Amino acid sequence: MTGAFLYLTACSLKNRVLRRFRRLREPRYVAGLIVGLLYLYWFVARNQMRAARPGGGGLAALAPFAANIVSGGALLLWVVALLVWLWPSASKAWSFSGAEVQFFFTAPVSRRQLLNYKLLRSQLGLLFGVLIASLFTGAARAAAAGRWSFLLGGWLLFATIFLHVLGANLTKASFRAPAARVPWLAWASAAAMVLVSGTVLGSYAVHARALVAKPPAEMLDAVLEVSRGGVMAVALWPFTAIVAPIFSQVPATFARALVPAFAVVALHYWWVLQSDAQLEGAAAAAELHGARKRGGLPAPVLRAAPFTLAPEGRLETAILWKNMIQIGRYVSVTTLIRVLLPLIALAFVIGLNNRGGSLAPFVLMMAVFLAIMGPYMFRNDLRMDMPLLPVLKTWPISGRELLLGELLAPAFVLSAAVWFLLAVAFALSRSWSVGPGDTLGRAVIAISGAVLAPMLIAGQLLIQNAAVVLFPGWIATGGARPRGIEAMGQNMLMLAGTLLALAVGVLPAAAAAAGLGFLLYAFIGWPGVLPAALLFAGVLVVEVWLVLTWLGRVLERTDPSQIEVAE
Amino acid sequence: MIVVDGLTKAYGSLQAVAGLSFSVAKGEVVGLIGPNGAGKTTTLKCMVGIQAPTSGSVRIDGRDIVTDAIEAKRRLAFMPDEPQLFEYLTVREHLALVARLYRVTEYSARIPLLLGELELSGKEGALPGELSRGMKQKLAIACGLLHDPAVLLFDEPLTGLDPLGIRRMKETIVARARAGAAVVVSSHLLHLVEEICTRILILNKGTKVADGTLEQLAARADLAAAGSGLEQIFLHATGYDRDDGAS
Repeated sequence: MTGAFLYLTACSLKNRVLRRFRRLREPRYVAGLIVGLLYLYWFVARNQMRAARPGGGGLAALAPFAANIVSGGALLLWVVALLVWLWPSASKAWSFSGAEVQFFFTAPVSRRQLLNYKLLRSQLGLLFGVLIASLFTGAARAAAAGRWSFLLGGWLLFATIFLHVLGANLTKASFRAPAARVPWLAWASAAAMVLVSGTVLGSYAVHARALVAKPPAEMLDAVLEVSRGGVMAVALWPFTAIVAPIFSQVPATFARALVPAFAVVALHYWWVLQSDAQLEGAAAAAELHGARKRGGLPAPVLRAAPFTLAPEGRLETAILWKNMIQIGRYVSVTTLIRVLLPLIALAFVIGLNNRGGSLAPFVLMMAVFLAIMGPYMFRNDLRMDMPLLPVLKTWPISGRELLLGELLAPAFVLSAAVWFLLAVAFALSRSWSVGPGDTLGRAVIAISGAVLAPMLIAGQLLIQNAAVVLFPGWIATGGARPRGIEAMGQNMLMLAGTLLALAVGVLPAAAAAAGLGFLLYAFIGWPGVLPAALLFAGVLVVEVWLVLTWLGRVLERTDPSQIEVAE
Repeated sequence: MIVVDGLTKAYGSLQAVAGLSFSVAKGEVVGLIGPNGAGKTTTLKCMVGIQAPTSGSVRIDGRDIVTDAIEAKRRLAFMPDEPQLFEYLTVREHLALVARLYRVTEYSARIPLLLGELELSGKEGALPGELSRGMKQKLAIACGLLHDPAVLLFDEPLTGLDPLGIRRMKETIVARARAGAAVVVSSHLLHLVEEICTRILILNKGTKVADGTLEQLAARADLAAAGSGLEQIFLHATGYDRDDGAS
């Protein structure tokens, strides 16, 4: 049976690679590849070379902080694990394709064989993710214990996270299952997590007074110091064991760190298989089968439409109305956490440098991140509708109207959120020492941001949708987008491509606005920023309109049967 | 009402449809039949603008589906074999969306009638996930009929319907043709085609091998030996009866 699974994996990999090569017969994919390779050369290869240069820094330069880095990494892993357990979703433990369900669930294959196949197959994606991460960060070449230490250490880290998410989801499924008795392993796993988390939180509670008394500059060191001592060190040992190899300073310590790390991975592997067996494969299979039938999306929740659609008016409004309903019916606490958590975390990290005590920079950072990352996260546009392109193409609507309509809903929602954050930042900015000191100057900055944000968001949404129209084989469409660590590499490449296209796209607008802005600033100060922002937005409006018109024609010529589904 | 002239559609080196020409007048119900891979669905997709023809043209009520796509699409409706619906829109919202796209101002009055005709009354607030396969098919058809199109194209319209639904669907198709619509029905169900179609078009390997009423086909010299039933005519026209004999 293992031979059959290996044959399937090898054939899938071979055909996937061949299909990608075959795509290159289309000039647009060749152009995309050339741009991608140029990007990799300029931004990744140079980064790698810098890291390799003697004295160029790298992880070796971090040797004095190694203990803190490992402790911090272990704490971060614990937070991730805790979030996985507390995540208010009914995440599916396994993800089987329709073909896998049809062929394997009816075949004389044991559940364990099937799960081993799924686990082994997922490792390809994990390795690809680690490889891309190391390429983008240059960390592999900079790793103190050698390039392979980063790759192997990274794979161990990601594989453990992958297995932990699986195990936690299976455990949660055990508690949800209608079976009369919850398996002992589910109770034991949950109890272990409660014990570890209780120990961590309890230890910090004990040391809270001493930690608060520390000066801000020493606080982080003190927090990490606590995590390395007493029972907390024992509680965090599995997390430390997983983080340690990647930050090892010499090959010998790396080799020693591998033993406990592999032990933790093996424990997780056993946990996943036992949890699945105790849950009984059939229940898990039924759960995932239901998910597959819904195309990877949760069932929508019936909520009122945002407005009544009149039978007459612009056709773009109809698409906006449809997509606003979609947003309203799929949004959930989980979605909000998924969107807001990274924003808050990133803004918090940036805001750490702020010593003025004002929350304004923190909120401003959230607005900036939402404007930049939001179009990538909110996919309620053509990216979601692409699987229904044959239906859209029968509608009496031009390609430009369709595209514009598709962009409107995420653009409105994101712009409104950014405006809200800008207003809050402005309200809190009185005690912020950076930027204009007077209210008028700060108001001008806030209004300028409010003018710029919608066009920046629209521009990025257009780039994302253009990618779907021009390179449908490279972009995941519909609800079943690749998720998890194994999709990280692909996502990083897409994000890099989007940011590069955005940088090129805003260049004319930025150049014109910067010229005007500097000129006016010299004469009238901060109020001069507003006309520059208006000019920037105006140029972007023209650009967006021109691209929409061109892309609309491309969409009209697009043959849905020639679109290959992205893996 | 429908004029297909020299329609050719190629996928690389494969010619799915080769130089197909036919027309459908008002009130006609044309059955499009052929073996798997004959080019029926490709023909329909080219006729409704989902795919662009490699060469040739399709005119809907005098409007070219490629050069005057929006006006042509406004006059037609396509009902695919697999209903494609938005999982997050209710039955009524699907119809409201279609009403806006096709500018059906009196849709509020038409919806109850249409839902009654297709036995979807009481399901106005239901999401597609709450509907059976047959009901989804009926909803897709209701969306197609809402703007009272002059041209109707059905791809396997009976898939997933129960016996009562099948009878209603046949009545709906015939009623629309009687009201003046030009209808094309692609199906493998020869008895359906025989029952409701006024003309039959047989495709094989992307080309037209027969076109006419059942009587005309039965009377054709090269098909006369097959007999008077559509099944025999179909097998003879596509060469399948000779294949059987050879094997």
